[in-house]
Amino acid sequence: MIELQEIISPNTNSMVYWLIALLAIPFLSFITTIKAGNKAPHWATSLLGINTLIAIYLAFLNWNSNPITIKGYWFSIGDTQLTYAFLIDRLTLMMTIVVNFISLLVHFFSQEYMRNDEAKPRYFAFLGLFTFSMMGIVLFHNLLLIFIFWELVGLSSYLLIGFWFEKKSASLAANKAFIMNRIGDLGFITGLMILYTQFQSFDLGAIKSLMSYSQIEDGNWIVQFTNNGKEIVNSLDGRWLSAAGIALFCGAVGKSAQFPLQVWLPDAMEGPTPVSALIHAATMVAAGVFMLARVFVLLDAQALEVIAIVGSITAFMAAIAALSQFDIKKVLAYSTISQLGYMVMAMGIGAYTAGLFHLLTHAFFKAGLFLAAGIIIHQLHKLESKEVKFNTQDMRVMGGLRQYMPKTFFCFLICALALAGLPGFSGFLSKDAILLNLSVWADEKGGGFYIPEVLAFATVLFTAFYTFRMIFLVFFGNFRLSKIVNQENITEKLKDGNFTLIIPVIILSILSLSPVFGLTLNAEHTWFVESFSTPGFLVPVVYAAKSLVEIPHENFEALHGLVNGVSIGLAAIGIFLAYIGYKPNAKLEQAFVERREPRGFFGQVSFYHWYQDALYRKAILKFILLKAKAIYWFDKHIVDGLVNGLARLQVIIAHIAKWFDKYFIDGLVNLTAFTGGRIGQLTRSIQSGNVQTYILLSFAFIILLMLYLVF
Amino acid sequence: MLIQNQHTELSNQLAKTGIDLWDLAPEISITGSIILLIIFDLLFKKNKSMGIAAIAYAGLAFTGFLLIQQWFELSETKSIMSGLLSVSKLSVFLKTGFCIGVFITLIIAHRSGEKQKDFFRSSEILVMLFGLLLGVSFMSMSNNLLMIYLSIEVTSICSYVLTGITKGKKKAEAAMKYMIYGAVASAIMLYGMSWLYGFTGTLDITSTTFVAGLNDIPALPLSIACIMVMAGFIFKLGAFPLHIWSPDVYEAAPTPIVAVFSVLPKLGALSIIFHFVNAITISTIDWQLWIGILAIASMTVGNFSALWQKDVKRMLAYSSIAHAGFLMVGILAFTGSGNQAMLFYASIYLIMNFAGFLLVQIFERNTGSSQFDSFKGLGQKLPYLSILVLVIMISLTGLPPTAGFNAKLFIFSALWEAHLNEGHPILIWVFVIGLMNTVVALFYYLKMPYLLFFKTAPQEIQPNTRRFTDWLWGTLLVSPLLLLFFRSDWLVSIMNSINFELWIP
Repeated sequence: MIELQEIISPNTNSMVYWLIALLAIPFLSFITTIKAGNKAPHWATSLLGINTLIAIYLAFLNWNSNPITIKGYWFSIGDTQLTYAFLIDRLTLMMTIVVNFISLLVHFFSQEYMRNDEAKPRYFAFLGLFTFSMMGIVLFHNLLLIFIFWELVGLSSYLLIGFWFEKKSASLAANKAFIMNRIGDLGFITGLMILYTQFQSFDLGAIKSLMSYSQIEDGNWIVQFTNNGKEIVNSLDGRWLSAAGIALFCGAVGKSAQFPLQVWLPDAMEGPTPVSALIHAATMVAAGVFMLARVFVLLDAQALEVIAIVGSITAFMAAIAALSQFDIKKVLAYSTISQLGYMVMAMGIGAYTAGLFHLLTHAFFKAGLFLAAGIIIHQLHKLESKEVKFNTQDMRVMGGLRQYMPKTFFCFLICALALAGLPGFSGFLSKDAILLNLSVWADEKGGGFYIPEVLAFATVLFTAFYTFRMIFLVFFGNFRLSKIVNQENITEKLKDGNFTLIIPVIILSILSLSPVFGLTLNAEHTWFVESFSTPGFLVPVVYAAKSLVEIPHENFEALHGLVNGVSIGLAAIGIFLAYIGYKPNAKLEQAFVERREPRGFFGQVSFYHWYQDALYRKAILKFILLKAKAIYWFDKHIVDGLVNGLARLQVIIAHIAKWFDKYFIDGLVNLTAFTGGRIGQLTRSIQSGNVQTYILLSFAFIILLMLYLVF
Repeated sequence: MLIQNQHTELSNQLAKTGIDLWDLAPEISITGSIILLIIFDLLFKKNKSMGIAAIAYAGLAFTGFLLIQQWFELSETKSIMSGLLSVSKLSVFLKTGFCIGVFITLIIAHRSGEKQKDFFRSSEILVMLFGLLLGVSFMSMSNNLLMIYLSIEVTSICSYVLTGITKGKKKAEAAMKYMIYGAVASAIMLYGMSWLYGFTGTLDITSTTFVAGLNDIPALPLSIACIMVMAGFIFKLGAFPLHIWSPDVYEAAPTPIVAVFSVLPKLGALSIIFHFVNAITISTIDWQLWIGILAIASMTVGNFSALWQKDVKRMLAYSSIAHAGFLMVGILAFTGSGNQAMLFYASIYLIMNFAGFLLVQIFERNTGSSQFDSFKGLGQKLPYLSILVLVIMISLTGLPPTAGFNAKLFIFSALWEAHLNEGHPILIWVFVIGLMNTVVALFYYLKMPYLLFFKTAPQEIQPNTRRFTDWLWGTLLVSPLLLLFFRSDWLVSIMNSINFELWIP
């Protein structure tokens, strides 16, 4: 029988100091930067630079070694010993580098972007806090600690979305993000509780090995092990196994903005644009996917189906919504949701490697898109003056920026091509890997499971369309602002971003090229896919999903060409349609610029993101407010009334008690005090101040004592 | 041949004395500090205070280091210097406490504002203070009547000088009274000792001839002799009936000095009484009855007299008389747990009394007076320090959540245990009256917090600066009181390794 204490017993490794450094440096940045004043940007950026170097060095040391687990006792409550654990495997190393690297680029970019903001120490401190929390999620291998850092990530996201809290919309958006995340986290903690109930440990290593020992008997989920030599048999209804997986997934739904909680992400664009690049495109939202990868082997067939379906729905819905936005950041936000849908769906169908691959490529090209958009917004912002006020994120004021910002345009174009998924760019490799796995999966399952496939392929078309719609609107044609404000010479001030702004974007766009991952059009031959392998499920066989690894390789081979062809074709059609619709002076482009919001049912559904916000407001919010009112009434009239009545009763009793107290108790007390006082006066009267008397008295007492004792 | 024998014996004894000197390393370190202080004072003319303080702190630190080393090296009680002294873990524990006490005294002196200059201007006060430390150190180790007398006398003479060393008519008067009173007490004690020597022909109280000799003596002369010797000890302990000197001295002497008086000689005397009483275990003397009466009388007189005091230092003087009674209760039990309770009480008493005097000193510096009335309404001005005062006073009373409660609890449970083991009937009276006295103590201990928090100040007082250091030391001294309430086993586990058995040759 397996002994729990043996699995969680401490062991250590010299690598632990590097891990502590990885956590400590961003934390140091957080606590010191806030007081650093004008030096804050450089200080925070240099610290992050050191951290990135450590991350790379750590990867260099451990990439080819076996996974290292470092465990130790954290604290104990009664007999319950809580532990901590670090895990260093390739997944950890990859995430460490991605988080630190993109965080470093964003720090670097922000030095220029936030130059004129007075609160920049606060801004850089929060970036440090975010990086610290993210490192916690990545490095720890214990669900409770992951949850704690998960919450910290939520907090830092809240702080950064609401960074310009004096703007009402920003603080509302921060609230919305926080609340939506809390709903998801409720699920996460439920999953934690189910797993703890069954396995009595939060240690992921322990949970995984105990999970592989658990069995399904008569629909009951049974696990047998010993804890401190005591034999323990835990039995739960088998459905709790699926529930645990779905509950953990809820956490990812919140953080990775999946249907139905995805509404916070578009609003989160109220934060500074580099923050959007770091948190709401590349890292934090990917934390959900990362977490799914961590608990991947604990998910059963049913949970995986739910994950796949939710992912595909999210991808499709968000792609539709991105079609008709005016705000350049909103388009990117919906596109992020859509791509996250792909990743989650990949996890759901069991395409572990493909999902992580897409996480990586998406982190680079989406961060690149956001930072490039950041340059545009930053440069347009410089045109604003007392007379000229406009929304710097609105695509209706842009247009023709290709001539003014050629470098930005070029980088944006590369990242956009990666997003659209055209061969030669990283997005193509990872997206096709997902689509291929999805096709095989759908063939295997059959029936209704073709729907996710259809949705996913439709999304390819829409993605290409909205991406190029954005490119045509922003970079081609004429600069519309000069016509709107009637100032022809306003373009004189319009310049490309300077060195600090453009360098991170160039780096990210280089990383969006597919040769970075291998000179191939087949994702299977990239170094990334070759260095990760899909782990087998550990859940009891009865409940386990069929792993994609078990499907013969020929099935993949057979579909590969077809999937490639269809996806390239769909992307090309999307780009072509965008060209038809939104090329300079095309019909849609003209209409777009004039209208306040899209017309027609389809346009409205897309613009308002399927009316999800309105639904929440009308159905759920209204209900909650009504309930709050009812509770308020109950509290005020019933509870308070009861309390007041009791208070009145007490006053009456108190009057009686007072009378008794005054005459009986106080009398007794006064008598005691009086007696005590008399005795005290007697005993201190010895102290006359005359030393002769002192000696005389002392002697008298000694002699008295002698007489008493002797006789 | 005979001369040869005597010669070898002498040289052996000298060699052994040489070795024994190592066991006296802490005392030698104290003596060294005294010499250094004197030389330093003679060498430099001006601005000596820094150097003097540095020597004092360094000397204390080195002594403390030696003591801690001795604590770990010592396994059992050792007789040294031909039976004059004995080195035991008990004495090392007490001496470490004394060193900490003197250290805190220096801290209190530093916190006394303008008066601080008096303290460190020349090395006189510190030399006397270290002399006192040397005296009490020997008190805790003495096994020989002569050594006991000498150590008590060293302590006493330093005390007389310390009382009157600073200027002031009142101080001179108090010092004079103290000296006359002390001289009489010493005389009585010495007279009693001469009786004991006459009875037995030896001065070594742990030797078999001493106890055997006393067994042959009738009860009447033996009792008279013992009472006379005890009178000298009780004078140092400051318990009834030789407590009368203490309020005058406490009121007059500078606060840091009073802090020393209220703890160090008391604990030294306690250790002597403990040794003496445990050495003379003879059926003709009923120690439980004797000490029981003294304990009851001390507690009652101390507590009730304290009720009427208007000066906080005088109040603490009477409170220390009452505490002397409680300390004696630990001896009274004559059991292992009683001894441990006594030592626990002594340790807590040391901490809380010094903490109390530190706070009194800080408040005195702010108001310029140690009268109760001058503390009115200071709670609003110095809230944190006032809360510390409250904690100390609660601890002195012996209520939770402070270590003062544990100390009283241990003492009384040891007493109850002794009572159940067919002790003298006086024990139950000590128990009842002791508990009642605790209630009385509440009245005067809570007077100061009451005035601090519930009264308003008659005039505006501007608290002095240097607040942070006050906070720091206050917190450092008060936190063990709270900490040891929750984890008293920390202190108990240290004391568990102490063997209370006397050294038997």
